[in-house]
Amino acid sequence: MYAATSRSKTPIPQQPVQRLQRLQGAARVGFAGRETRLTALYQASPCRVLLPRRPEGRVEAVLLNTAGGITDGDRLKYTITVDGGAQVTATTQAAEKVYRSRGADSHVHCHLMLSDGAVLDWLPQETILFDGGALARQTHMEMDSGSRLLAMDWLLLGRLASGERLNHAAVRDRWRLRRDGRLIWADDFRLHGDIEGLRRRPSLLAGARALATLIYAASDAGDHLAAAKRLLQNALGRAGASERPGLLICRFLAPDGLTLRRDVEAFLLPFRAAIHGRPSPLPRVWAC
Amino acid sequence: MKSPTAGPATNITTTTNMNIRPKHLLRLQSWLSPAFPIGAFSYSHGLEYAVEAGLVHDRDSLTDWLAADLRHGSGRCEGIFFATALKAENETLLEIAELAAVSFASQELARESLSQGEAFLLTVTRAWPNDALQARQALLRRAGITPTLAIATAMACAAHGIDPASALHLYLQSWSANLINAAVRLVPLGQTDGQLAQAALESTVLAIAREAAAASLEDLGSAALMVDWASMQHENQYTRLFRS
Repeated sequence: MYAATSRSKTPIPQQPVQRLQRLQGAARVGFAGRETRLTALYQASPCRVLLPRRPEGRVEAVLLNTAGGITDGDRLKYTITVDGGAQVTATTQAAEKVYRSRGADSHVHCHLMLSDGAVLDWLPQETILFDGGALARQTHMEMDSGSRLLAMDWLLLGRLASGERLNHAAVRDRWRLRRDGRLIWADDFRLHGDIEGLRRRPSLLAGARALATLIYAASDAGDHLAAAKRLLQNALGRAGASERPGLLICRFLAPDGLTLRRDVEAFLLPFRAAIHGRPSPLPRVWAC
Repeated sequence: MKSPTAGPATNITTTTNMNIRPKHLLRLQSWLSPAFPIGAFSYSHGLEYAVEAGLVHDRDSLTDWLAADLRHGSGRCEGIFFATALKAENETLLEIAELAAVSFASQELARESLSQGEAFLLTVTRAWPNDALQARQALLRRAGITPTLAIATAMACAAHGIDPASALHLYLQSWSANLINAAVRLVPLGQTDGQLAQAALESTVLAIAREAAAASLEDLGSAALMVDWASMQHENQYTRLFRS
């Protein structure tokens, strides 16, 4: 376990109040087979799973934190398992808010497991880091070489609409991708302390307040690199793509959340159509 | 998290004991020299595109680019990989080397580190044969892991029993010196400006060496997404001198 909480600045003073009950939410959902039937469903408050059926019987799993946000030692754990040719799109109901913490990190763990020709598009909505927030997020992905995974995560530094300035916050975002049991990609984003000052540094975020990383892991990933790079040329913010064996990696940096959303959506629509070989509308809840 | 910026330590002059044998000093000087044949001159770590995009255009912007990347980005991670691998053997070494080998956001950053790591070991094992280094190499080979430059250099230093603090400081210094050399050619800057940038980065190199020496893999992490972005864009740069 690692700590995102920065110790470099005076922390918000610990109040001599009794320890609040912290959230320990979990949601597990599993699918299998060409008909994408539900094989597992477990929900521990405040996490829930909604399973609206889309046209043509496509499954869109919507994970939900009914508490609306996390802080201070809260733990959310999401697990999605897709087996045997099932095709699933999973998202979150709303942006995850990381509130001011009195010291402890807010933990979010996502575990994505794919096997036997499974297809998963993990497209959660934004995570918004409030001033004083401390987020430690881990996304562990395990797949086999016959499966395909599209996964993304995005982060907004502050409530941008209200012009919030992040004087102090901490985020650690860890990604680990294993294919056929072998670690094939690792990514560790770490930003803590005077985020407002750090984000302006040209080699760090060059002024961006909205960030996203998107990966596509599949045996045909490399075939889509040129098209991905072409699509990203139209981005309003900064966006780039590259590849590792069987893996495509995209980074997005934008001045604000709206620009980022526009860039991500403008990329995802044609990109998903290309990798899935059929029109793939954005998750319905994204439009809410 | 062991943060170097934590507490008052930042403002106190701390001394790191370096106890290096003369022959080890000579080896470090050779291995970390720009003349060591690993092709270091052909990699810019995305700087070539940063210059093209106007993000790095003079000595000050170069110093800021590198200082932030060292303190909060890929330089810091290099330091942590190097320092942890120096102390590691067997399973622990494999774990560190495996993680380092896949911690790249772009093809060119991966190639930069992995090809230099390979070239480094090739030359070091020819010129300074060493059983302990061969054993480490065999361990990685059996696990199918290609050592990055930081891992390869750390393995050689550990196998030769070179003082860890000396090795870590000089490794980070050579990492920054190589990028300064690239920028001197790219911006372009005068040779003196390059050394002024190097002098300005001294305190950052010292701070990161101190931080990395106390760090574990849990402390890994970079905020230098612009370095990744610049490297991704560099893949499509029309005229280029550098391979990364």
